[in-house]
Amino acid sequence: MTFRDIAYKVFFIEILKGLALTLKVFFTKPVTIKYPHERRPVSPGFRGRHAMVRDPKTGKERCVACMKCAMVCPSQCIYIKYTGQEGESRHLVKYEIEAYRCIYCGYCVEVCPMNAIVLTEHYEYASYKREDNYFDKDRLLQNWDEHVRNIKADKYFNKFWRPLGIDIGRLPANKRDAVVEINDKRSD
Amino acid sequence: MEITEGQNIGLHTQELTLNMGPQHPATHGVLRLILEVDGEVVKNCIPHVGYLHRGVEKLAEYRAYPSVMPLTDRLDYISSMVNNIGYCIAVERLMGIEPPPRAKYIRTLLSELTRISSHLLWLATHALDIGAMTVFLYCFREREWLLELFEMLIGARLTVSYPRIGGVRCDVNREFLCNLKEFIKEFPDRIVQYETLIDQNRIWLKRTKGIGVISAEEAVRWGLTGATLRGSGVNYDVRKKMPYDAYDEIDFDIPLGSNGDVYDRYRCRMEEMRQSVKIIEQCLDRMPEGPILAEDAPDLDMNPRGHRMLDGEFSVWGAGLAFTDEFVTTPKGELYSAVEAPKGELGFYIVSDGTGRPYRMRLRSPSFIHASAIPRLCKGHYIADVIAVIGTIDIVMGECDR
Amino acid sequence: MTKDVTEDVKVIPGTNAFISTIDKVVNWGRCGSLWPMTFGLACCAIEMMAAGAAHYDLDRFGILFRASPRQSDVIIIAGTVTYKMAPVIRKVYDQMPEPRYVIAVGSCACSGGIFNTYSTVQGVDSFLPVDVYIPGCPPRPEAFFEGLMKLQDKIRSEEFKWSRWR
Repeated sequence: MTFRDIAYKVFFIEILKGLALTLKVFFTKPVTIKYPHERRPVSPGFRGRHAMVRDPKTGKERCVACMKCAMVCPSQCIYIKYTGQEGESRHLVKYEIEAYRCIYCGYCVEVCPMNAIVLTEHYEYASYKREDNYFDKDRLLQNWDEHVRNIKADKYFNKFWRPLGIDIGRLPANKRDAVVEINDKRSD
Repeated sequence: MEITEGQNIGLHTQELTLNMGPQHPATHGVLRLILEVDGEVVKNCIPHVGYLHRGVEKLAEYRAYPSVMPLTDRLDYISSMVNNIGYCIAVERLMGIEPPPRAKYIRTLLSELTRISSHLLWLATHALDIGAMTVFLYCFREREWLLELFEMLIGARLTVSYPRIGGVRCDVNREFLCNLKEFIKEFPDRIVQYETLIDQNRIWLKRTKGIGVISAEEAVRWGLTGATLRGSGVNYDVRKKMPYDAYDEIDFDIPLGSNGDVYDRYRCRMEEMRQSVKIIEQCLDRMPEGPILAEDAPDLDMNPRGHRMLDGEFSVWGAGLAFTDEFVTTPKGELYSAVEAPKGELGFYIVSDGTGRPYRMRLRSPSFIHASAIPRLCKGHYIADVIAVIGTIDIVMGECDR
Repeated sequence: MTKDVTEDVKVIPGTNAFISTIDKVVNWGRCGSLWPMTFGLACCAIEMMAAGAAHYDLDRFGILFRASPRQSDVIIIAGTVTYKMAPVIRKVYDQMPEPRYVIAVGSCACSGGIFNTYSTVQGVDSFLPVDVYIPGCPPRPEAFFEGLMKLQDKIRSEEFKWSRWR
């Protein structure tokens, strides 16, 4: 045992060092976010509550019932019903998402050829009943309206509609410029 | 009471069976241990697993290859990125896809970032269990920074699903890289802070030195991997022995311990964090430009059945539907592929029957194998040391029970 | 004769006496410091830990994690519940004193989530009376806070939950 070891043992040097550090940190700026009063800005593309894009031209949903989202969904929480024979254009009857079964992987957003479905940046939607977050078509469109109301810009772009760096040739035509104009914002 | 002759005059003691878990704040999830204790000394210990068995392997048989990825997120939920990457590499090897170099570098970078976040959580909980509350708060401060980086990149904090078979899902943007550089600059100082608090602390040393000792040969025999094995001085790291992604082009060291006790494993992991920073710096320097997804990478909406594919580009609502009866998906066969997860060697064994979904997927999860070594590590120690042993092997029950 | 301070709370002028309904007082006392029983099961538990750490700091709400069911008011089910685990949860819940509340955090606890398999309980509401469901996989710590605040709102609006004849 050297003299240094004995000095460490006797004078509690390492504990004092630790205490000095905690004292130093005590005087730095706290990192706490006082949540209900201040919020950390959510990064664009955060995978939150589902919404269906209301097309600015028609005022309706864009979905064409191609069933791709329902097929790719790992938790199989999307239920779609449509009318129309094979070869005709399909008409969407029912589009439901069970939000409590969803795992927010964003596959549906990425795979949708029409940019119809989107995971918005809204995340505060806890509920008292399980049925409250069982989104049908109207509720999904309503979610979109609620989401759009809070956007300052004229356009909305979701990161998963056209992922950065993916070769544009891989994407279907509608996804190549995937920006939604928010024109009926002022009428609200 | 009168003591008759022939009876044992001394105090009679008997072994006590103590049930620890599954609901116990320090057992890292839902591990249950049945301890047979003699006073305070553990004579035997039986780990019970399966409280988080969710049937991931079975579920994977019913999902197309790309849709299995969110399942792998939830295995080792602390380091979901590495699980994703391990799975992607397994499927890529099966399909014979080579990801482009930029994707490889991004993956390497993010694996190391995940390693840091996993080790931070390990240090936080391990220190909290042993009794150092401040380290918990400090570690979460940096971890939160890391999770913010993940959120910036892909929009989720824990369950990222970031890579894709044949590359990654989206490119890193400048904002992410700037933030990452800032983090990398700051982080080595933060490691020094943790070390100041506990490295020489006499309580920490008393609780960790000489606890859970396992020799090198025995560690190999128990099948330990990762930092748990390297703490005993065995130089085995999948990143060096079977390099994947960009690890063969990157220069880094494998920190090794010598005694094989809790303290050495702690030192190993701390040094690993430093090495991770070094790897990330090199990745940032050398990251090439270019595509991030291989040409022949399967689409996300890959058909799970394989022999009935939609023909033509988005003909779904178009003129007509055409199906082709071809096996266009995966080659038949089976393979094992491993990556170095923060916990140890994470292996994927995939059996393919040619369709678009795995016929069987088996996981070699380090946590399960490490959990089997708990009785060996804590035999002869006090009950309080069992907590230190559970902490040091760094198990996550999601991965252990699958 | 009395003066309104806030809704349902009156003060008698010239004295220190306040008049309010028992509901109001009891609910105020209950929602002030909810002590959750930690039940970290899987991924959501990590976000719950993050919510308890420095960045979000649950202690600001008077919420301290208790490891014992005897001293806790609310049980937070954070993670996947399997059939092997469900009896344990039920046992812990039964040990909690009344009034007790249940929060289901995350997709797995709310509905089984992605794990629609032979071994997973499809939602803890099949064996526990859930008060608040928090969606997300896992939910952000902010979403977790929002769920706790929703539970406080629920407690505030309770009526006659203080008598013996509920």
